[in-house]
Amino acid sequence: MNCDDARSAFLSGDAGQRELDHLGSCSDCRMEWEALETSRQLLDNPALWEEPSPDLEGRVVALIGGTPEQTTPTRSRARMWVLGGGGVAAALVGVFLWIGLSSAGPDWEVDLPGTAEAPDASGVVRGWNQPSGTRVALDIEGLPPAPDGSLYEFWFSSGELHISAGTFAAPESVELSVGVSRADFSRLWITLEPIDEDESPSGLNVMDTG
Amino acid sequence: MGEGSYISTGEPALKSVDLERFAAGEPDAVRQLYQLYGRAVFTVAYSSLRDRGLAEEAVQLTFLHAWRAADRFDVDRDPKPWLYAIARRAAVDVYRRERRHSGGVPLESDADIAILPKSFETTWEAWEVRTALDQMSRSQREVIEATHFLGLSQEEAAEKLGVAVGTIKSRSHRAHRKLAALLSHLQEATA
Repeated sequence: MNCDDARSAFLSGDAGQRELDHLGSCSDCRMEWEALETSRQLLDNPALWEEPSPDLEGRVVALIGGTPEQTTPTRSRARMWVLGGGGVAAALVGVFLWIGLSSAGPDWEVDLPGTAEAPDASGVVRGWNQPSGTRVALDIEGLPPAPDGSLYEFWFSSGELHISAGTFAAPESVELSVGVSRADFSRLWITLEPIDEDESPSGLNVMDTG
Repeated sequence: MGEGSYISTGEPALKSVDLERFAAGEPDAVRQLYQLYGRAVFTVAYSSLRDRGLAEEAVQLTFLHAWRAADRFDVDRDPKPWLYAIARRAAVDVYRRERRHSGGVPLESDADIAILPKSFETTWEAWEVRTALDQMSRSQREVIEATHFLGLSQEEAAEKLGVAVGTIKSRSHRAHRKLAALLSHLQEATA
């Protein structure tokens, strides 16, 4: 028996008495065996052989790719923008006055009721699916302008994954863009957030599709 | 092995320009980082959570958090330990959420990481082994997968892969020698 045959048999778990005898008599194989055995044991984790879904790469790219300053602004960036612009809501990144997004009808539409924090608020979210993500238009009634030092923030959420579509101060008709697909996010909601560096939805939940 | 005992395998780090472009959210750079480390991130998540859907959610969280933190990353350093730390933390976050929603005892502090299940203890090794496998040729990975994961004999592996038994033996030997070399730092740490 040569060394290669013995080592490959050990590695594949096919070793028998002949291979054991060889290991006992071959110092070279014994020296190499320990390193090979350790690496073999490290391969026992079944998770190593699981592959992510083929479309996961595309979902990751869609989540953070594109033009993030316009499509998925973080709260701190968006808020710094509005402060620099003198508090004019129309100047917010990704936020525009509703002047007619498209002459075509929306791809989807969902009611956005007020929560216990804003029981008089009601609204509708209309969405247009686009290759780079989603554009939404918010028609909101009964929600007062954001108090000084705070902004409303619109979120796409799936479980604990929260993607900000942008911030706004005047909650009448607002248009936003976000670089994700509506199909991946079951929940749409609005929070009232203090202007700070916190990028998570930590403020009052004022409107929520649930 | 402790998480702080990282030893570089000599794998070339991403060029600084790539991380700068990643921080800017450029799709090509995002795709490049995913192609380099996406499978390893998934391995960490799946190894911890043992659920494909939750693991893929943790992968998305990992790259999202990495993107948000990219402007604070030193582009001259190897991104592997940085990305691994984010991946493990994302898996912990998903685990905590699932435990909370399933009626388990809420976990509210970082100290609660100490009571994570054992599946979280070997994520660094899983990350290193997966990145090592990703550096091997397809034929080498195939023979390792056939003989280890599928549990095939050398004859069965030869039939499945359409090569001679002698080829399986030689490929297996070369593959394991390369793997042992790539993972020598783990062996030294556990010796």
